[in-house]
Amino acid sequence: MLLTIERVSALKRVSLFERTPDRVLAGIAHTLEEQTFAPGEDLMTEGAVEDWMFVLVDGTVRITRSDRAVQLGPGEVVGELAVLDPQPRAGTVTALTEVLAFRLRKVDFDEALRTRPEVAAGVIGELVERLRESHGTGT
Amino acid sequence: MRSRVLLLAAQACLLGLCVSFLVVPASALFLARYGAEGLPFVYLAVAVLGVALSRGLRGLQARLSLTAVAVCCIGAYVVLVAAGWALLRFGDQTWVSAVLVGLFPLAIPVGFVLVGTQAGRLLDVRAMKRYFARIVAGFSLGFAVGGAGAAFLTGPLGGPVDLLLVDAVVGVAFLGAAVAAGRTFPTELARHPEPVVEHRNLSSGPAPRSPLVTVLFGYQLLSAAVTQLLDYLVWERAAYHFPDPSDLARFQGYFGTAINVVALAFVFLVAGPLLVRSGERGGLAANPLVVVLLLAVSAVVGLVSGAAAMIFFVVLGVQQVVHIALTDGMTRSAINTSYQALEAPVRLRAQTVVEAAGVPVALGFVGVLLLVFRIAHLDVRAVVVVTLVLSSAWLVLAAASYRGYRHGVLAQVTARPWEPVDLVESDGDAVDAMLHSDDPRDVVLALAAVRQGGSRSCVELAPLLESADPYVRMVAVCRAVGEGGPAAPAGEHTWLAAMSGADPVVRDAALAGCAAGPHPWFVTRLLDEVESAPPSAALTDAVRAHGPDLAPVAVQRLSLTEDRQVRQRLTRALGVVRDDLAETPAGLPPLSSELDPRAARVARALAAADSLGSEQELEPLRRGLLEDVTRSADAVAEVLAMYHGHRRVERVIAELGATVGDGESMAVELLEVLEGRRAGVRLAAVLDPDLEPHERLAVLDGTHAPRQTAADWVAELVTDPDGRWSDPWLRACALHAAPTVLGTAAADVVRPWCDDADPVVAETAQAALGRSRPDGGPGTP
Repeated sequence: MLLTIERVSALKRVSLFERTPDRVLAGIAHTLEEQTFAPGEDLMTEGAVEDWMFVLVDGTVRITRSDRAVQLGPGEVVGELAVLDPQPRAGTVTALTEVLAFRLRKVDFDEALRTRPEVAAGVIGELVERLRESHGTGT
Repeated sequence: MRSRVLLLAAQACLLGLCVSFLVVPASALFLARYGAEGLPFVYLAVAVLGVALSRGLRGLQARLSLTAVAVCCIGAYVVLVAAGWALLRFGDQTWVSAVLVGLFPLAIPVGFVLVGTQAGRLLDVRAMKRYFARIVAGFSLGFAVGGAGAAFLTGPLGGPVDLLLVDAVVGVAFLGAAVAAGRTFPTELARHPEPVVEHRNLSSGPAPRSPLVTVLFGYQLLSAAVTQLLDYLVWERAAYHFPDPSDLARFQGYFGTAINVVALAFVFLVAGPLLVRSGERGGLAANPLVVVLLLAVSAVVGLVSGAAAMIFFVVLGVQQVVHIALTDGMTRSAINTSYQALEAPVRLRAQTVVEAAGVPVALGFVGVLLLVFRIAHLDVRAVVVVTLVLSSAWLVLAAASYRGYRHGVLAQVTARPWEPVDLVESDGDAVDAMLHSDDPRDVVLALAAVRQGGSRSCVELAPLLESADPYVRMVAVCRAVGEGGPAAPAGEHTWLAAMSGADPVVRDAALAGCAAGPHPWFVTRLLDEVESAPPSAALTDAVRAHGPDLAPVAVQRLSLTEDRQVRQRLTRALGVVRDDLAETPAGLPPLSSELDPRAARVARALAAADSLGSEQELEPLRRGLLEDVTRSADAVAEVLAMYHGHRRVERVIAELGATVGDGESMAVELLEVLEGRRAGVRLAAVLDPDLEPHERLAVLDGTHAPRQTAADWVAELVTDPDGRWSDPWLRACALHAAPTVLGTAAADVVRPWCDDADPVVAETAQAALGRSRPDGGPGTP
């Protein structure tokens, strides 16, 4: 179990939270659930309707969708669209190595969004990034 | 910056040389031909010509770049002087001396328009205050050297006429300097002017209509008139005390040298720091204030000892020396700085109107005045009294100019592309249609537009009170409360229930409702919410809508509570409210009570962060300390907003972070204008979002952050012996850093916190205790 201060340091490496003050992240850190996954274990399954996201602290995962597959590592988030608008998962997330991840629930994320504009700005940045990826443009 | 100042000072120096090589031969030839009795008529002619010249200059500025305008003006000057020399040398046309004598008082203001407008483009407001006096010193230097040179060359050249040829050559050098400046800074000086667009903003209208320009014109006019009258007083008494022309010429030489040497010494040794310290207010007021005092002394001395007494003459001479030193050292810089409060498109036109037309008009005024004195056979002491009256008016205009400057800087820094406005009931049919729309957003919008007490206040509320949409329902509820009819008590109950309920959407709807229909009944309830709940957009809107009623109650509550969080929340609410209030609410605590301890805290946090080095293990503490700086800045901004409004302070902070233009400089100037120099500098150092830690620390060093080792800082942050930090998160960060910084000695420091009530502090202390043990095993509290 990581200390709060270590959780904050891990969150700080996530672009979504990099501009959020540490003491605010300390509040969020209390709501996180630490989860570990063995290689080959699924973190999320395509089609499942869930209202949480994962912050990857350690290890590597693969996201498999019908059209493509990508690998993500520490400092990345997976499933963040579900905490904004719960819909069936668009892909399956599988651990490629031992994975340590924080699970953040929608209700806690909503509170951060409501009270901290920099979290909202981080979300907008992430969404823009996804839009660019989906359109295959860098502009 | 150095090259900019040097180029401007070189032009000012050449201007001084030009006018000195003009005035010596022109005045000698004129006085020999027409006598001093002719001067008032020249002054009157200069007034008429000067106004025409100002108009022509503005026309040129609208079409040409600054460099091109300078080339036209200086070129015309060279042609005039050279033609005058040719007519005198080869045609013996002494009437030309009257034209050249008139050219002298026109050349100085036009020259300063050319140099001053270039300075306006090359220096920002802070640099203007710091360096413009030194640029003006170039003029004094040029004038002094030129005067001595003219006196020296008169003999070898066989008379004063050929000095005009020297003047034409110096004029060509001045022309070359202006062209060189344009080539060195083409973006600022050689670009064509942008068309002037009419703005609604007070400070940005066409130059002559702006209140600041009007008052500056009056200030400059009185300044020039007083200068001329003080000159007249000295020369009139000099002619009395030195009846021999040679003695008089010698006195003129010594006195002119004394004036310029004192002015130079004042500019280089005193003026810059004095101007920075006293600010724009001091820069504008110093000269008229000192002149009023000296004239009062002159009046008394003249009355007691008589106009013929030498002591009276000495006092008049001293007051002229002091006046010119203050003019060169402070007044010119202060006026030039004042134009920065105008928007760039009108700045140039305003400066031309004030400088180029103000001086000639003042000369005309003095010419008329002197004629009246002569006709009425008034004693020179009457001139002293009249000058005293004019100087007093000048002092009053200094205060008015400063008010205009303050207003202009405030408008420039805090202007936003758009401002929120209340909805208005402008279209009855549209509002009717929206009230009966199926879309609840239309209904809410329409209800907000139909203000209580307005011409369409009779909205049918009953169906809206039953609406399924919480926003429609709560807007109707608040309207019912506001109308105070039989439905009011039920409305109050419904609103209170919504506010205490668990559903955040309904709570936001209740707040949106009272924002759309403000009423005094909500004030205390809203303040209860402010004190107990974290801020939200809905609460902010509701608070803002109740501003006039809410402000005095909030101030009272602020004075009664010591709870830090409650104080912060009330402070923020007052900042929001201040946006829409005409004046700062009465009874607020002094800004220094928050700024001083916060500035000291920022300095300590920066010093502590600086001591930590770059070890990765200490990164959380370093981040925590820098975040503490940001929190202090936020707290100071909230307090400042109570005085000046949240939106304005947000704009100031945004401008402090500006990387292009002179926004940052103007923002710092505004903070000084609003809160005084000392507080302004510290506010800027605390609030500037982009200041590097070492730059911020350098400015705040006056708060004397101790130079401690990392170990001392970590120990202080953990134990907090003076209760200075009072921050569990910083303590947790320091506890985390303690084993790295203190080694095994950390155990004694962290052990007392292992059972702390704060869970983050306790868990971090326990882990730190474990890391402090030589074997690195788990800690035992």
